[in-house]
Amino acid sequence: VSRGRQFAKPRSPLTAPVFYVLLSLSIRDRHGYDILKHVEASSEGRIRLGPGTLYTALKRLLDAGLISELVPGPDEDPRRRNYRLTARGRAELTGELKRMEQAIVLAGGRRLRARS
Amino acid sequence: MTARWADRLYGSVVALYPWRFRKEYGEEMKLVFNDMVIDPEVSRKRVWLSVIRDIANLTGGGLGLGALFGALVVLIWFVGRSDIVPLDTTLGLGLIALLFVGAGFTGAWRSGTIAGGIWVGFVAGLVSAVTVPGDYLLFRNFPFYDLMSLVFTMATSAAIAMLFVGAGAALPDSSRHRHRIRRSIGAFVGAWRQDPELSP
Repeated sequence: VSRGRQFAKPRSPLTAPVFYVLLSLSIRDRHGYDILKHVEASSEGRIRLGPGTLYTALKRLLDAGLISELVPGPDEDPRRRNYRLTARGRAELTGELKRMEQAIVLAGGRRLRARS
Repeated sequence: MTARWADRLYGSVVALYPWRFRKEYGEEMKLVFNDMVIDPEVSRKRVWLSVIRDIANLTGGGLGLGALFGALVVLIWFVGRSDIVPLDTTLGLGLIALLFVGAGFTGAWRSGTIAGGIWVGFVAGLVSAVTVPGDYLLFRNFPFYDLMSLVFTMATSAAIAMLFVGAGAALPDSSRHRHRIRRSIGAFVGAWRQDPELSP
């Protein structure tokens, strides 16, 4: 699938970095480094994004209309842009969470839950 | 390494990204990198590991794809040379040219940039250069007078191959490139018409 068409297919599973980026923006608007730190913390260190991977993911999400860019305030660094989850992005994230819930229910029903 | 040197080094990593992406996000990427470098919670090792991962992500798909096209070029070359299948030289060279066009096209289509297509074609070219030592080792054929003629032939072949790669890379967005070329020619012709010193 070409990068430009990655989100063209509705209800397709999100990649792990994209999922965590959307999750971090579902809490509040954030700038690049804030997203990077939150993704690492919420994934318990499993997803560690570099600046290049982060902005590649942000560009794809912007192109797909799942997030939007906020205009920096007068007392903010113009280079440090903030990003916000759009209604479409929230719907996509909710859909992904539902898919995950269904998978957990299915695994639980088949006694496939990981032993703690 | 000081933070300033790290920033400079990262600046050259940012230069690897497509021009349009760099223009839009380059400064922000450098800012995020600087945040990582000065963050006491993030070790230098982790900073550079994330940069290495970025570079791998940037070139990873292209490397595999380029190697695949390069391997196909090598395969056609050796099938033709070994006479396993009777392959006309013109047909063989035509197939190889098509593979370079394909490498450029696929790379550009996947990455959304011409640079992505050129990168895949470049890797394919590097892999296909195996044919020179391979031809000597397998068929005892070394059709070069000296080192200079080898370098000249390799450079000419690379330039011709990159022409095919470039043509392939321009195909996914051909209407926009056609418009650009027409606009450039228009500007050039306009300059000739308007400037009496440039007129023949």
